[in-house]
Amino acid sequence: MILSINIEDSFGINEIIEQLPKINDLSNEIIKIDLKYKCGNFLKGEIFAIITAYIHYLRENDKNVELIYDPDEECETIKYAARINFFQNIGVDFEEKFQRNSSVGRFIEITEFNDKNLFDIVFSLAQIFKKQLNLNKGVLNSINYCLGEVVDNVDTHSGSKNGGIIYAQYFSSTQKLKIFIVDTGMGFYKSLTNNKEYKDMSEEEVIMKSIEKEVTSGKGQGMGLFHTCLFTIANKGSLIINTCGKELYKNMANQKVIDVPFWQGSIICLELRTNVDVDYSIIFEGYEPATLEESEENRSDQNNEENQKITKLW
Amino acid sequence: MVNKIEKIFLSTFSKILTTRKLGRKIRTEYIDFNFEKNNIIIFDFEDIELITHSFSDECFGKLVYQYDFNDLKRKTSFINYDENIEKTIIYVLNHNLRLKYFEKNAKH
Repeated sequence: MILSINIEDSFGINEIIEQLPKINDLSNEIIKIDLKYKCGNFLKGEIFAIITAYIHYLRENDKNVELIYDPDEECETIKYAARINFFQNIGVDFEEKFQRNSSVGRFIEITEFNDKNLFDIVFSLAQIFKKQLNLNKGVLNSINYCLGEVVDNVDTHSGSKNGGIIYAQYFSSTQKLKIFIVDTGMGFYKSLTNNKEYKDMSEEEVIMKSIEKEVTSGKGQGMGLFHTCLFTIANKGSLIINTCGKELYKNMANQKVIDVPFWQGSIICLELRTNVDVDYSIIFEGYEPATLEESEENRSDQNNEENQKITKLW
Repeated sequence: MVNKIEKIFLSTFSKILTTRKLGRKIRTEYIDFNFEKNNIIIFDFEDIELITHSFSDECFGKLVYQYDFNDLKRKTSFINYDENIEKTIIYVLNHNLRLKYFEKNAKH
């Protein structure tokens, strides 16, 4: 079967997801993904990150996938796709007959991560951000914290067989850094409703709940996404979470959830301003140590050595 | 009886301590190993730029479940950390102590 994906320069990720069938709707025939685009159009890099993740997902589920594209060597659009490692990531031989310009200060190529290279990827991306962008320590630490926690969430909560995909682009004119973290796991709804506390929630309630403090499927502390959200807002940036057919958009002024085409897994987009400093210590604002001795019901048990509150490291 | 004192230079793993996977690796491969030998561990945070809650929870927080807390205090010490590192570790220790306490009391 041929699956045509029409890509226009105005398209964002949802216009692409809308064209991607759910896996159960696909036959076992060879799936030929036919990329339809106009040479010369400026296509967003994240579109190729999404298509990469989709192809990986199909292959994980034993689908035989091939790619059809206009191999015009002079086509800037396809050169760009090659430059951000689209072909390399989906295992398609593409002879690059162009000079690879440095990605420094512009983008981070589509990068696959999994439980084997998870830590290395986070660290190397942190190094790239440090070297490429002239960031102050607060912003850099905040970006690294967010990246580490979001990628870690994919590993811990998503159940994704093959990890996920990262892609980042820096827009020097607006001094914005956009980072996309894409996985094809179970999605927030299935993950969070594993916790009986949230089992009766709707998709919309789940996605809004997911950025609150100490909200977790049960496998973590529920601090990573909460702090990521805090940093994003302090940075005057935005956080977009796309999962279970909903998209949460949050910035310092707005929070809204809209219906979007269903993506199997989750897509997190961090849009950060490299020129807005962030005080890293904000994550400890409103910090409340988990006190047992301060709670009324435990006052009588204060002398129990396990019922203690730590206020400093020994 | 204490066997010897081992210093773990955390920056040898990374200056950015993030992900549960790294935290688990350090706990299971280095901390547990030294505790089994009855060694005292000094965690040295020299050159550490960042530590996340997930890493801390997996590396230090889970120790609360594995070991008697007062024993843990006797066998460990922390040096060269800044305020943010300290707050993060204190948070995960308190969090896990609370969970352990509630779980224990729920069973009784």
